[in-house]
Amino acid sequence: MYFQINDWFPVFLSLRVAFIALAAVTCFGLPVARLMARREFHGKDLLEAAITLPLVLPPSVIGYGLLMLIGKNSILGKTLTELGLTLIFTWWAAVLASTVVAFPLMYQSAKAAFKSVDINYEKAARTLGAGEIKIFFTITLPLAWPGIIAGLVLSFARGLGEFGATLMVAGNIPGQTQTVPMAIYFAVNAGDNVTARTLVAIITVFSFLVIFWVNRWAKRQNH
Amino acid sequence: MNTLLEISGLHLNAGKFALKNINISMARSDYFMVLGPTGCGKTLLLETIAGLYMPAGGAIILQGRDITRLPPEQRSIGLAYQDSLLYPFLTVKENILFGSRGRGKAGDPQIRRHLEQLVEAMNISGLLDRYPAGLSGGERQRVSLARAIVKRPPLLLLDEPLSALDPRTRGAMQELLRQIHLREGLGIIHVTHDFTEAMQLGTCMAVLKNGAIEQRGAPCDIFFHPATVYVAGFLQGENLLAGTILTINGRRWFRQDNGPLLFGPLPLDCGAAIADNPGSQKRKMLIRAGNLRLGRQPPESANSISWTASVSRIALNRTHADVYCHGSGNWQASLSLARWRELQLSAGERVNLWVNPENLHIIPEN
Repeated sequence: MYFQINDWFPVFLSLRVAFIALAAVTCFGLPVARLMARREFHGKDLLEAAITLPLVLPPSVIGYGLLMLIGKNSILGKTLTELGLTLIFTWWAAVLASTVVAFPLMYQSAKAAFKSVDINYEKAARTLGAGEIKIFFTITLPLAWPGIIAGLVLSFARGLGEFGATLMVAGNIPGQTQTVPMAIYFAVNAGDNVTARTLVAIITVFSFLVIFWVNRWAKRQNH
Repeated sequence: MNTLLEISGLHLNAGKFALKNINISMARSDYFMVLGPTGCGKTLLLETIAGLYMPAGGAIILQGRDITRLPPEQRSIGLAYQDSLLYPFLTVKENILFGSRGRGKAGDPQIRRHLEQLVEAMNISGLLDRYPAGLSGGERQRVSLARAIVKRPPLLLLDEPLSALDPRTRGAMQELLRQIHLREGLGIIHVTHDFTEAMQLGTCMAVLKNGAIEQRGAPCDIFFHPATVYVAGFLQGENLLAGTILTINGRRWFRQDNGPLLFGPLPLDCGAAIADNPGSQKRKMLIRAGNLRLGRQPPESANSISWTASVSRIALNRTHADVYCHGSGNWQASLSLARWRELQLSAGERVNLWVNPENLHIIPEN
C-alpha cells in the first residue's frame, strides 16, 4: 500500500479551509477587537463573553449549534437551499466550523495587541491630520503587529486542526469534505497506517515551517 | 491686538475631572505658558484645543473661525507631546511627513522647502533616514517638533516638551523653541509644571488649578503679585507672612502675626484687594526674596521697614546667593553673587533686613 496522488486531497483541502477561515477571522476579528479594545458601551461584557464562548465550548457543542443554524431543517438552511446554496456537508461548512472555533483566538490576541498600543500615538496622528481609517491602517495596525501575528498563527493552527465541529457539519466525504484530521482519524480506524503516518508527517513539517518562518519574520520586523 | 486664539467659557467633563470656564485670548506673537501641577488638567486643556475631546460648553475661535465642533484633523493645530511619540516603524523623514502624505501633498514643494528649513534649523538633517529607536531624547523631541509644525499650523501646542530632557539638552531646546516662535511666526501654548521654565519662555501665563484658571497675566506680574495663596505657593513664594490689616491715619498697614513687625504703608493697589474682601482682615503678605534687602548697615531710606536677624544658612546658585535668616520670623533674601562676595557673609552673623513699602504684596484671596 502506497501513498497515492488522491491521498493528497485532504492536505490541499485542509490548507484551503484553513486559509479561507483565517481570512474570515481576520476580516471580522480585527474590527471587532479594535472596537472592544477602545470603546465603552452597554452590554460590552455580555458581548465579550459571547465572543469568547467558542474557545471554551466542546467542539461537538459548536458542531451541534452550527447544525441547528445551517442544517437542512433550519430556517437559514432551508432559505439557503432554496437559493441553491447548500452549506451543510460541503467543504464550506468546514470553513464555517474552522472560522467559528478560530475566531476567539484571533479576537483575544488582537484585542490585547490593540490595547497595548499607546493611545497617544493615535491622538498625535489625528492632530497631524489623519482620519480614523488612515490611523487604523498606518499607525494602530503596524504597532499592534506582533500581537496580531500571534493571533494569525494561532487561528490558522486551530483552523487547520479542527475536527469535532467539522465532522458534525461537513462530515467525512473523501474527495469532498475530508480534511487531514478527518483522513488521519479514519485511516487509523481502518488500519491504514501508511496514509496516517504520511499525513501526520506532512502536517507536522508544514506547521513547523510556518511557525519557524513567522517567528523569523516577526523578529526581523522588530529591528 | 491681532487675536489668534480666543477661548471663551470652555467646559469639559472627563469622568470625575472637569475643565471649568476656561478663557484664553492670545495673539500670534504670544508665547502662552500654562502652569500647573500634575493632574490639574493641563494636557486635557491642550487636547481639547486640538479637538481630541469635545467640550460640553464654550467656544474655541482660531483666526476668526469657530473650530469648537471641528474634528482634530481639520483644525490645523500642531501638538507635540511630552514623550515625542515618533512612530517606531517610520524613518525620521517619514515621521515628519506623516501628516503630509496620503493627501497628495507628498510632493508639495512648499512642504518640501519648509522641511528643509526646519531640519536645518533644528539640526536634524543628518538623521532623516534613521529610525527613532536610534535617536537621543533631545533628537526625538526635535523631530517631534518638526513633525508638528511642518504643515505651518498657526498655533502650536506643547505638552511639557522639556520635562523628559536632561538639563543641558533642555537649555538648547528652550532656545530652539524661542527661535521657532519668532521665526515661524506661530503662536505657542506651552504647558509645564516648572515655573522657572514658564518665566523664561512665556510672554503671558495662566496658572491652572483643578481644571480652572486661577490667575492669568504677564509672568513677571504673577511672580511678584500672585492672586491667591495657591499661586504664591506654586511659584515658590518666599517670605509668605500671615498677619492682619490695620488702618492707621487713613493708610493701611500689615501687622505680622507671631512677631513684632509692622509693614506699611501698603501700596495703594493693595487697597482694592482688601476692600474686595471686607469680612476678614486676616491676610497673607508676600515679599519675594529678590525684594528683601540685606546689609550690615541699616537702610538709607527712612521709608524702608527694617529689622535685624541673624544669618542661619547660605545657599549658592549659579547667579545669586540665597541667604536664610532668623529673627522676627524666618526670612529668605536673594543677593547677587557680586553683592554676596562684597559682603563676605558668614552664618551666625547679625544683619539688617529691609524692604521698601512698594514691594509689599498682599494676597487678595486666602
